[in-house]
Amino acid sequence: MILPVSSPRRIASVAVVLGLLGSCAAVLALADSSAGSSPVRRAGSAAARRAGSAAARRAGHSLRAQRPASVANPARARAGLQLMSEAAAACEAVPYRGVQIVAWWGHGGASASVVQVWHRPGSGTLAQASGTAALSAAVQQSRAGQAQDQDGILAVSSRLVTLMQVNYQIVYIGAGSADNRPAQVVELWRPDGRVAARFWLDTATKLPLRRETFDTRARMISEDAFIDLDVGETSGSDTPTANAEPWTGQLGSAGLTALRARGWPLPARLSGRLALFDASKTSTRSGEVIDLSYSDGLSEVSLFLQRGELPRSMPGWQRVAVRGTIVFSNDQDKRCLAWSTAGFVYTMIADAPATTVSQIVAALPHDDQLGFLQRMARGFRRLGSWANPFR
Amino acid sequence: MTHLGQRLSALIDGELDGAERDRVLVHLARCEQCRGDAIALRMLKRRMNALGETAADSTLTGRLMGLAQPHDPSLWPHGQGQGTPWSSLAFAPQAPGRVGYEVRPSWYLAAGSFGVLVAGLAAAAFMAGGPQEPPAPKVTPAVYLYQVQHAIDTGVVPATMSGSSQPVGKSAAPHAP
Repeated sequence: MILPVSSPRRIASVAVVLGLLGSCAAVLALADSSAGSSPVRRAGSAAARRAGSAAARRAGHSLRAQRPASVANPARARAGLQLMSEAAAACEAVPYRGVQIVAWWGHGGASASVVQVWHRPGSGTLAQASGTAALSAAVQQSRAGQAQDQDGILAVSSRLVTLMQVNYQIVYIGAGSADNRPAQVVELWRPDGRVAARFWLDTATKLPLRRETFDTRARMISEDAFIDLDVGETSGSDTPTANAEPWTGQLGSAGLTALRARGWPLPARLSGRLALFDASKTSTRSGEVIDLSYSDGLSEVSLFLQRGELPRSMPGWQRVAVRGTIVFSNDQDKRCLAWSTAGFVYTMIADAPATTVSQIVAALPHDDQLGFLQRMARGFRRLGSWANPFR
Repeated sequence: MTHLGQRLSALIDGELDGAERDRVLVHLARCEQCRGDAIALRMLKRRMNALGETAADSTLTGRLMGLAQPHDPSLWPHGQGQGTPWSSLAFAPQAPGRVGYEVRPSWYLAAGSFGVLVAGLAAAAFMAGGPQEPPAPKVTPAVYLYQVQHAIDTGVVPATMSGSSQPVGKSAAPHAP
């Protein structure tokens, strides 16, 4: 901008205007950063006011999410482990049917869905999403799939309790209530003392009635709760049938070892202390697909691998950056991610905090993200190697 | 009588030795004509040597060497005599009052060739430094099937009321474009 030297008043007025604009920009930036620092918490409060608040009111239990780093009282730890073990047994042995609300707060906002659940001993837990109360239009679009709405169904297994013991302190907190039923409250603490999850277990049956999960900053990221529960054998004509079948090709350690020998990259653990606890495979038109299930007792991550590479663009998928790595995502919450490297396509579906997801993605293999100079150096090395007649 | 001919010139140049030189000298002692020719040849050679030692005028040298410099002001008819032996160097001063040096076209050519070589090497290195993996088939993840399997992994099987639809595990098939 060129200003005439002979107009000092104009220069002064322009300086004042620029100063005012700069001040406004600074104020806006500060306001935005302070508001943006806790999107999960804002989404959480919005959700609590709307769909998720019903379960919260019914539970009527208010506990602080963050505790000082400490070691749990041994008696409370024993009681907590005992209660969680009984919950795992109840999830296997007690027949029930009910309606759960599943709420999730992520990058893309908050969402809640209502799921009908049936359980019959020996035949597993069946679930059918009966509606999605989207708290933002973007989330509604991203969660069109019924299967994803069923993530977060309240269920505890003995395998998960074993992993919980390894990765968290299980602590009995005290009595409470959920879904108008008396309950025992158990918390899972991270090694730093922050709460990772809170369970309300039915006092009579030990079935989990409600669960809240928190990220590593103790901010709530999901809430799952029964809003209606009938315990006992169900009768009547509205009997559900399974809409899917598990993959039949179960993989044991020998099968995994054989696949690894054939070049399949099958990690035994994922970053964030998630251990491989189940593996299966199936054949598809595009080849063999391996499903690896990982958990730390609370978060569950499924990693699907198949040979091939992703196309440059895929309908319904967007390129997103996760810790500086470009991957594809088909939902706003970045819970379903895909990328390809070294001749394999990785698809990851996660029920885990965003920080855990990004940690896992960053630790898995990706195409080299070389800078310009590193790529040039590698190119010169290769050229030299090609020109070397003695190699 | 046969005269010396070419051997006389060889004698003056000191190229004869041994018996041949003795024979030529004996002939010179007897032949008046050849002695005269030898004296004339020696004088001619001495004069030519004297001519070779004469240094050329510096101004003339500068002008001659400045022929390679088309913009050398000393070559212009009204030049001020600025042409010097140094004007033949690659970086010759430009016209008075101008800052910098003018580069000869040969240097332009050399620099251009070097630049092209460096650029070509850099481009080759950049191309060679990229990922080198064999082409693999393009695959789009069958994400719905995977979501169902993930739900099953977590202990929950998607369900429908009796007779409402076909099982997902049978109907949803992954696809590759």
